[in-house]
Amino acid sequence: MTTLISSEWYKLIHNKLLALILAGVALQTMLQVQGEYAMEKAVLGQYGVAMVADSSWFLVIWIVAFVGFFVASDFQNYTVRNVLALGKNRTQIFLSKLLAACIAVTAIFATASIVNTVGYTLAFGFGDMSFGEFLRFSSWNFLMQLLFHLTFASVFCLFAFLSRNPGGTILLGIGYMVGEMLAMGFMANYPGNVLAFAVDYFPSYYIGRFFHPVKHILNLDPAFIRQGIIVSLAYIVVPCIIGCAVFKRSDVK
Amino acid sequence: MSEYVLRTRNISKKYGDAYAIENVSVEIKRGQIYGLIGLNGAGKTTFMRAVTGLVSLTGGEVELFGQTGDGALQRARRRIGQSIETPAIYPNLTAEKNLEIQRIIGGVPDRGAIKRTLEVVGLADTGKKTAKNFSLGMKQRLALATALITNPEFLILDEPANGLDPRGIIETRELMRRLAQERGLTLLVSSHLLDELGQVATHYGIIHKGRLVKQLSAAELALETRQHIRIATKDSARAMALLKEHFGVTDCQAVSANELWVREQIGRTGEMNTLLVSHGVVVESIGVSEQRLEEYFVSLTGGV
Repeated sequence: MTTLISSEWYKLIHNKLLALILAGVALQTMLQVQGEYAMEKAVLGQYGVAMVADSSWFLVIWIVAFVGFFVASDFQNYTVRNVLALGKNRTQIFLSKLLAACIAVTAIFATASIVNTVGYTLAFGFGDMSFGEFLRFSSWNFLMQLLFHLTFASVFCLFAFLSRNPGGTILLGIGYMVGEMLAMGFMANYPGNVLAFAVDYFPSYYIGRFFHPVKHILNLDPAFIRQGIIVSLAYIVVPCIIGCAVFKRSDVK
Repeated sequence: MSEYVLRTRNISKKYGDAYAIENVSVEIKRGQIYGLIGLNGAGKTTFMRAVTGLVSLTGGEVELFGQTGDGALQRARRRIGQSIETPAIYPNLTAEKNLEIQRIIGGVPDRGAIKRTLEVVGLADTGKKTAKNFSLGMKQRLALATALITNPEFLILDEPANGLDPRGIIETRELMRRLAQERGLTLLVSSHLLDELGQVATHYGIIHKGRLVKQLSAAELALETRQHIRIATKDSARAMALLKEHFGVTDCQAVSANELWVREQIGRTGEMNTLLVSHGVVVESIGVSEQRLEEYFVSLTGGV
């Protein structure tokens, strides 16, 4: 497993893909800040990390692009053969790819958070939070949102192992995002609110909830947060189990 | 330590209703260069994939270095290097970085192995050129280097001469010989270039329509394809009967209605000609020749 993780790490560093994606994320975030500035929608720099949730949809597109070109391309280039033929365990191969995707998601989030915080501070000022308070608020927000977005890393990794090509992974990923949005909208607006409870089972719901009460984020109901963590973990673990099981039983060209 | 590097016992792989390979039993001993011969779609690549664990088996058993069973086989596969079908390389990385990844995965501690391996395959001077800009021949050599970096004991190469120019083919052939001689490597090589394969292989397996038709050593093959008298005649059946009657010929084969091969009494070609002509059998040509590997393959598989 160590050798697999080391090789993924080496690829992350030496492949220009992650650098390109991070540059794209930085540019997109800067444009978003500029847009807010143009509309004079004042957002203080201290809330920069929380504002990342506002561009979640775009970030998820960057995530699916990364997973497609980094994970699924191993099937397209046939390089997955080089690992399998050395007798490496298929579950470990899946997990090492997932770990690489999680590292990329963290880097994407960190980039967006930093650019947001600096950008909004330059545009509207930082705000009145003390450094300690800012650190507590930002790290809590960052970790929770990261957890919610790691669910996409796991789902997209499953898509990468199913489709085995970057294009297929990206299409499935976008389809999943659109499907999730439509499903949530349908459930939330179903007459009589009889399906509204089901919205709680989507990680995106928690991303939205974390964004809206920006100022009160630290005062959220612990039960709500606990539920968000459980839902997210389920969205990480279940695709992982399915992906490992499918990969174990499938033939590789 | 098992003298066999690979033994397969009746292995089969089925896709849908069709068998890609069926009951294939192959034995490869240490130090052998085993040439796997077959037409496109005969099952060569599927066989190699089955050995390397890329595909699951429908039936049968694979034994590698004396090991069987899932766990032991997985461990044994660490001693294998492979390049099956398309070169499996990272197109956006240099040759050196490609090898570094495989070195890490294979757990090879010596970084110097990268430079040495690149020198062995003749890619030491590719510098910062990424693999996507390599020629097909260079990609083939990089794939070979990827297989060699982990210092395998058993090397599996699928059509290693594909896309190579004549010089590249000669270099690859020499490299295979050198690897077998200097490193004591065992090789399983498939190729369409049968005469090319004939120059390096010590043993052969002929696979046709998913079945292993014949398995023989180079010495046995030489015996089977040894010198023979080739007689082109309008009536090979009558010619054969005459030769049996007057010369006591026993090792005689009518390869077609118009061609007869006699594998004995090579020095009596002229007498045979006289006999046939005197009995009214039209001899269009007669002479001594050797069968090429390609011809032998065709005779076994019933045409291309």
